[in-house]
Amino acid sequence: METINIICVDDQREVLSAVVRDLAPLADYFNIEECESAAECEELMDELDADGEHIALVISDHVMPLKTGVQLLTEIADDSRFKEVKKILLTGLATHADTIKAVNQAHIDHYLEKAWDGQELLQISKQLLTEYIVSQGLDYESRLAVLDAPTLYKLIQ
Amino acid sequence: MFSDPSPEIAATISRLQRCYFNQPERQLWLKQGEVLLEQGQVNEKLFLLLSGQLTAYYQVEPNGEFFELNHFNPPSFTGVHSYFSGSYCARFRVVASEDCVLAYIDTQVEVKQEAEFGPLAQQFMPVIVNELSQRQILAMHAQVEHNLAQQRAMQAEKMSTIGQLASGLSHELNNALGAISGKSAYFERFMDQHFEQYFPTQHHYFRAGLDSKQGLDSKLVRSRGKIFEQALGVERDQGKALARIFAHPDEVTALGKGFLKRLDEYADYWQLGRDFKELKQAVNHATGIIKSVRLLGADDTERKYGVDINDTINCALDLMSSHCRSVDIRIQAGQLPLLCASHAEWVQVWVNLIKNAYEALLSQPNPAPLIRIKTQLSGGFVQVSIEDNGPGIAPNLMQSIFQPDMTTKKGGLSFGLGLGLSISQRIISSYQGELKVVSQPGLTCFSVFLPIEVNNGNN
Amino acid sequence: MKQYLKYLFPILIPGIILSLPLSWFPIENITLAEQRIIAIFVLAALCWVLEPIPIYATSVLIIVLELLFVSDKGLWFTQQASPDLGILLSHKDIMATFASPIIMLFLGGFFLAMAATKYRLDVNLARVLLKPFGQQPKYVMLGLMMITAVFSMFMSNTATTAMMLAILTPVLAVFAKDDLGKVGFALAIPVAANVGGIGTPIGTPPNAIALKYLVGDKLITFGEWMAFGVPFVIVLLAVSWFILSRLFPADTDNIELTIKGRFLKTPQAIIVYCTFTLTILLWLMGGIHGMNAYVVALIPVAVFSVTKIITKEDLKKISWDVLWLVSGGIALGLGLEKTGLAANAVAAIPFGDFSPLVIIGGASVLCLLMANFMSHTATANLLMPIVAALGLSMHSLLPYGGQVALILCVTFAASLGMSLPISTPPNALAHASGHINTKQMAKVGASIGVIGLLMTFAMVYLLTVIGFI
Repeated sequence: METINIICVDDQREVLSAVVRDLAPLADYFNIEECESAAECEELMDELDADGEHIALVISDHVMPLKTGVQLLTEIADDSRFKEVKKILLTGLATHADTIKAVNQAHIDHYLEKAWDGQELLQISKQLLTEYIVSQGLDYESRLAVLDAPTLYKLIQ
Repeated sequence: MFSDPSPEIAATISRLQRCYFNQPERQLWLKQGEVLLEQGQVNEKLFLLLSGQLTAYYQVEPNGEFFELNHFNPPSFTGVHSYFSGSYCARFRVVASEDCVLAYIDTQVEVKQEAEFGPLAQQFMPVIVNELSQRQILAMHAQVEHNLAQQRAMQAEKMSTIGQLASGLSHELNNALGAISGKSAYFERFMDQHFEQYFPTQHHYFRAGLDSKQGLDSKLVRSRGKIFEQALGVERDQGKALARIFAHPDEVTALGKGFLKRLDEYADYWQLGRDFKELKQAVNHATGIIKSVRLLGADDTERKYGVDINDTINCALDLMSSHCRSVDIRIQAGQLPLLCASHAEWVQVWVNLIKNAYEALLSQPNPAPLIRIKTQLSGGFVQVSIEDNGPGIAPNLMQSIFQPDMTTKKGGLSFGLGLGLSISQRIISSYQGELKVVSQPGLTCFSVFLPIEVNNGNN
Repeated sequence: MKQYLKYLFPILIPGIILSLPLSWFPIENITLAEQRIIAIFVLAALCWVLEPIPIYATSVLIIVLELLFVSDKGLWFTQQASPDLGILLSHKDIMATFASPIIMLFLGGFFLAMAATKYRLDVNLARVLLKPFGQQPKYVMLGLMMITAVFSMFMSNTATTAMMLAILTPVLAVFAKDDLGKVGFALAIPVAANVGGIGTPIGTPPNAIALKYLVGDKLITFGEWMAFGVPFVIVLLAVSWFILSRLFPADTDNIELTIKGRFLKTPQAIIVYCTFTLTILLWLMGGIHGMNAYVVALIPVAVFSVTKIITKEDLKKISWDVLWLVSGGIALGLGLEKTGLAANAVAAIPFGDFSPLVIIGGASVLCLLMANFMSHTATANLLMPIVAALGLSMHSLLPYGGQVALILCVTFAASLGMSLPISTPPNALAHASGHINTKQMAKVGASIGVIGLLMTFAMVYLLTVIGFI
């Protein structure tokens, strides 16, 4: 089975580990990576891509040192290697302008505000992963247990 | 109060003095406190102050209080209005605030050098105009001063509202945080005891997670995880879990094969312990921020001995941390003596200066925005410098940056805590300190010099 | 089971079979070609059961291995003259399995289904057809089941299930948490899709594989298949509905399905409607017009390609994996048959001693069991060649309908395996909805499987009595 990665980015370690905790039910089917900065995330994506692994989802905080989440996600959206990657912006503080940028430039797939609901984050992740898997023609049958069924029904008709 | 007359005016005055104010019979000596003119009384004389000082007072209502208007220093004219307007009526009360020598002319004065300089009024014209313009400037200054005072009052009011809001908010938040930390502490104790009693092996890892140090960053976990992965032949996520718990694969090998078989379970317990630790850290973080906000909001200008300027800087950084995360902030703190100061005031100074630097950095794209804060003790001064590598302040703006309405902001993040530099400067000067700025593209440095002698609480 | 075993077995066991001396095989006069086919067969069986590689990949592997080792243009050493070499297959025959008439029949079916989905004929039909069933849960369920069954007769069972579950999802969301009706509804769809597939030759691949062996005087036309298939589906559907509504009664008394949309009236849409109707009519008319079902199947392929209703982008979305899966089965059957292995092997086992009823019952039950744990098509691929050979050689079967009866029983049994989420893709999809637990699915699936099998026996008996077979 191909390795499909989920990358979580947040400069605060305890927040990062909380996000990963919420995604724990996916851990048997996806590889979950943690990054503490945008630069680290970019480096990791580069590496994973070179290893031929899939990157399905990036969940990023907005307010981070040196490079913000919106900047990171915009760069991902502009990179032809990662154009299919699903993006969630998870933030406690984003101005109206940032939010507009996130939608228009970074083409984020979902916007979540901190403090978030773990179940909601998991559910949204499942939906986006389902979309990624179907759009990439990856094998969904072996991952049915963690995919979002209604999304799948819509996509495979 | 009046500014010194220009050379032309001074020349005119000295000529007039020579012509009209040199007769000893038309000179007047006033002792300090003696009244020269009374408001509303007849005055047919034009006085030239030769030495000493006069002060003008104005009474708004009859029998009301007299307000001090301005001081006159020699050589200046008094009674210009009553003499030349033809009303011959004093508009102000003028009192000698020091012993004075005055010379005067009255309405019977003989016009001199008429052929060359024209009639009397024309000869005095420059003086009249000068007088008028000086008054105009005075009025303007008064207006500005008045506006400033009003702004300060509004600011104080705003701060006190924020202060009230902050203290209410922090009370509520602290209650909630208290519940969270109390209950999680109980939960942690309960699990600790429960595991110790029933799951001793798992308890070991729970404890280890709970007592773990700050830990590795995610990058290190990944690279170390790979070592574990290769050395022990485990899955990728297992490798990462091991890298968090152990320093070296040999430690794992020493634990035997049974350990690896139950690795996932043990890693879960370790992570659980770690979660409790992080919960505590998060609560501490929140408590710290609430404290800072309250300090800032509580318009607490009471000066007490025992304030370390480094503390106030840290407090300001706590407050700004959520704002300035996209900027690398480096601090180099030197050993500083304790001062007699208001903690809140200094936090406000630093918040303003850091915010200023941050906004400057944001105004232009910058690959590595950096704010460097340095504190040190040098020659009887506490010196704090806040540097940024932003675009710098344009030379034409340099003069105006300390004015209360000066801003270069174009929207964006704003803390809404005041009038920035002007407030900072006011606070700093109230400690008899000084705020200096040096700026060029790529390096702007605000330096605060605070004399220890004045602020060490001994006077 | 350890992960590596599922890779090891399919390599190791065929390897051992290949290395054994011919004399060790309990089949008389076994040839080298036959030995290789046995090895390929065992490899296929292990790959389809253990699934170390995707099931369609196994099919491709079968074809390529046959070309390499058992064909007249295979590797040089496989063709070295030897008294034991046996009959080698024509490489053209093996390759032709990719384009066998059965495959063309399915391709035609895919084109019809794809055009119908593209022009929303399916959803619009569902909306219209569901209306008469009102809003009472029991009848809505019946309506859903019937429509699902009808659609799955012409579309893939998986696509039908996905579509119907998508329609159902908003309804399931408003059910009370502990309302058993949810389970009933969620189960009704895959059950109906699985059962409905039995109704036509293109409903599900096992039917087509069976058709491959029903040739000559045993020919069953499209219309004839539907003549017994559809009534069977109706009865089994009714039984399933009864079971589901009894086991999982809904507490709500009102269900509203909202399907939005209108019939498209563009020229293309009208071409789709007409072609769809025409093709089915031509299929049903049997041989009156001189064309058989395979030829008819290519009419929509041509019409939709010419009118650009199916574009080249759509073409890429065709489920080639299903077609290849069937091809592999046909190639496997070809190998078993043409090398003479099937007949020899059957002859080696004294089936004649068994009662014909035991044979029919045994084969069907084995098929049903296998179909519960692995792909229906793969099951049919494996069993059908053997069953066909067996049916041909057993004269004692004749009073009970002979080869045709045996093949039909096994084919129907292959579609009735639906007790587990892994049994069929429709089951897996419904299980993923989260409303059904495995136990509930097993209970319903097993009972419908057993009842369906008994009904199959009854139907075949009836067909024999009226002299159809």
